[in-house]
Amino acid sequence: MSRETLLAALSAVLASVGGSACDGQPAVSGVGEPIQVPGGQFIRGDLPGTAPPVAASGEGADAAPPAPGPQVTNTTLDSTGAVALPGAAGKSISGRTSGAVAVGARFADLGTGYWVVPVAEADSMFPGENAFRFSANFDANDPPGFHNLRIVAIDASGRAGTQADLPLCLAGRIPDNLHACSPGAPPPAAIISLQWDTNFDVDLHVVAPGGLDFSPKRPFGELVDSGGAPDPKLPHIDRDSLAGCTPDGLRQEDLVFQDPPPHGTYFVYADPFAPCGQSSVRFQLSVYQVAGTCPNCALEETFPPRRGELLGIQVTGGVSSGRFVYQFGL
Amino acid sequence: MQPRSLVARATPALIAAFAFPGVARAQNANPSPSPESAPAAAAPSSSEGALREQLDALHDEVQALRTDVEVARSSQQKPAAPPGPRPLGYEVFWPWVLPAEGITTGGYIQGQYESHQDSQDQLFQGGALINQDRFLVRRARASLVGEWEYAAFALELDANTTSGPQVDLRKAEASLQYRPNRTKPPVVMATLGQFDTPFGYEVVESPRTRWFMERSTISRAFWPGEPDLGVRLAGALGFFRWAIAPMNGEPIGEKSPYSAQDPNAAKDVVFHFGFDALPRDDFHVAGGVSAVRGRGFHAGTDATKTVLQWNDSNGDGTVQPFELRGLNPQAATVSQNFDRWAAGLDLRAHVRWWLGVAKVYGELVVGANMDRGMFVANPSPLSGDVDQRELGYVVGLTQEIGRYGVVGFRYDYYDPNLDASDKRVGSLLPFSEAIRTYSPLVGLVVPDHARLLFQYDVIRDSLARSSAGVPADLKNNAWTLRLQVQL
Repeated sequence: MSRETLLAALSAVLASVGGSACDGQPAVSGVGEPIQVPGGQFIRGDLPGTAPPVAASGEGADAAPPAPGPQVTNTTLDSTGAVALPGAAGKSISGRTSGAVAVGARFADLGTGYWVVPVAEADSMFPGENAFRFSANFDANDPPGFHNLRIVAIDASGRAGTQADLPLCLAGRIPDNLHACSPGAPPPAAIISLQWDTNFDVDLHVVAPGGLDFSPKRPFGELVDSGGAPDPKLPHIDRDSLAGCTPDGLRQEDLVFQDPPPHGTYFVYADPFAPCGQSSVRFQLSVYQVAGTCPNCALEETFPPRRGELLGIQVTGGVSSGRFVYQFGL
Repeated sequence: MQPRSLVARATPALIAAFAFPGVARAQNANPSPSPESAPAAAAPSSSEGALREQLDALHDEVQALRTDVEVARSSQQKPAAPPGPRPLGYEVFWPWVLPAEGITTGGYIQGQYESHQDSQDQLFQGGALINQDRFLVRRARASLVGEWEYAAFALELDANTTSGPQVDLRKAEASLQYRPNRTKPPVVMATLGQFDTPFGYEVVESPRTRWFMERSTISRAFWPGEPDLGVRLAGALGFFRWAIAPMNGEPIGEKSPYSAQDPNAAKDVVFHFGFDALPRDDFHVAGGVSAVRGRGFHAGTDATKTVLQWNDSNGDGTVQPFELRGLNPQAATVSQNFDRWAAGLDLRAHVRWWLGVAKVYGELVVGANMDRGMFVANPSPLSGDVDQRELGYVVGLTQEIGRYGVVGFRYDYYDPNLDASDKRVGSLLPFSEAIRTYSPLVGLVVPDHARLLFQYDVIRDSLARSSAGVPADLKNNAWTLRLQVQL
């Protein structure tokens, strides 16, 4: 083998490698995006296509008339309606397109990119149109309120048509009686909320004026009469998060006062009930009270959040109140 | 044998010369009476001179013998000479390795840093790491090899941090062999234990001598780990090489709970027939054909208990009677076997020229339901018992740059499902799941002791989708910097 042959071979190798190393689709899982589509391809950037001619937000009011090309002809939400609970998974979104091989979807005002999903079979009820459907998950920390889910049809050449808006209301993590989606529904008068960051079974424990002792084991602060159904308007803790170490995705417990809470001093504890395999957990205590007159009311934080940490070796198994976090007056 | 016979000859003479000097002198001084001796006795001065000459000659002879004996003893005390210089193309893999007589030890460590384009600081569902940009000990292996006239064994342990710290057994081979020519591989060798599956070339090539970081994609898909358990009959006659090995068919590292065990009684039988020749001192060529046929296992499911399910049909987060459903206990379902097979062709050559040794090799493999590591094949009645047909090949070139450098390039191709289709616009379209990897490599070498290697893998596949929803290449190129130091 001559030196010239060797150099030629090396040049060919470098050229082939260099030419093939610079394209491709970046690997982005999309976890943490406000909307996630399992099985879809996440692509960073703006949704292709032209803005909707009549957008709910008015953003597209001045946009050009529908562009030629593939179109979204219909969008439908599943029977759960236009509200997505915090961290909801598996919300079905479907519709029809014409001239498209795929659809792209993202919130108009949230997120860093869009999801691409191939369209499905031809819709026999609508000749010339193909159905699309995908299942969407939502991040629990999405800002509550209405957001436009923007969907666009894309043809085989990558050309996108006119975007279509699908209004969707994202419920907030703080249980506000869906006030963010329906301003006519008043939020609770006060909420004491404990959130934490790992799958550690932490229990919110609140001792309220009058001696009521709230915890997930006693959500109403006292034992409920056998066979009786407590009034849901009574103050109560809304869930036992990580009960039995079963992840619920929220890691949050809230003491909800639908009516104004009793005046006095409240003592709040974070009870490390079981570590669930975790070595530590960091938590945050927040207290919210309604401000303003409904329907122009809103929940506001009473004081800045209080934070702390619990260790796996501090677990109580429920035999004590746990770690004292804060006391405050309402 | 020569030193031993020399000692044998010299020892009695030495004993005679030093232990019984009087007898020696007497024999010399009192030769049997002869007619010629009488005049000598009559002339003492001349006979004394003759005797002195004889004594001096004898002394010289003894000194020479003593020197020979010392040389022979010193040569006997040296350890057994290792086999001669390794011929071109020599590679360490059983059963055709030529180990030193007796017990020998070995070991090497491969520490590396690797970076992957598709790494993210996130977790897969279930908790597996997406990030692969990291330092790791890829292999830290220690081996013990025993070689005797009719028996041999090989034991190798591996420690690594590839999936967290772990130590496992890589080789545990107990062999009986007939190896009349100690400079050549055994004519026949029967091995029972855990050994590398003798299919083709890549699976049995030692990671210690392989320049490229890992085996090709198809090799890693079919055999996630090289070792499996079984019995192997193998041998070498002239240039002819052969191996037949019934094995469990559940290699180490496969993505099933049955690795290094066997959920079915049927064994995978591996055949390899090939050649290994050195027609010239500067040219080596070897190759062969391989085949494997066996049975995979489709696991059934356990019986279930009663389950209460809640499906929040109206999305209000509240349990309502119509959203509750009870699932009755279900009976276990039956497990089933499925056939799998592969056939392969491998060829490699070494050429020594002015720049150093060049190595060219290639391997082609076709199979069905053999993927146990990447796109795992698991046909079942529910899927119509459709076989997953696979095809892959690899071609590679390495070139030593003098004694202290190496460059290389490898291209490998793997299509895990020749019948794959993609559903688009309601139609099933033929679709290639093929993965192509281009791997240039450069390295520095401390002969026999260390190598510092850098490899960049350009990976082209169809694991992503384009903005038009069409399968597209995923950016998942990778590079690895590895330092290997060996005993």
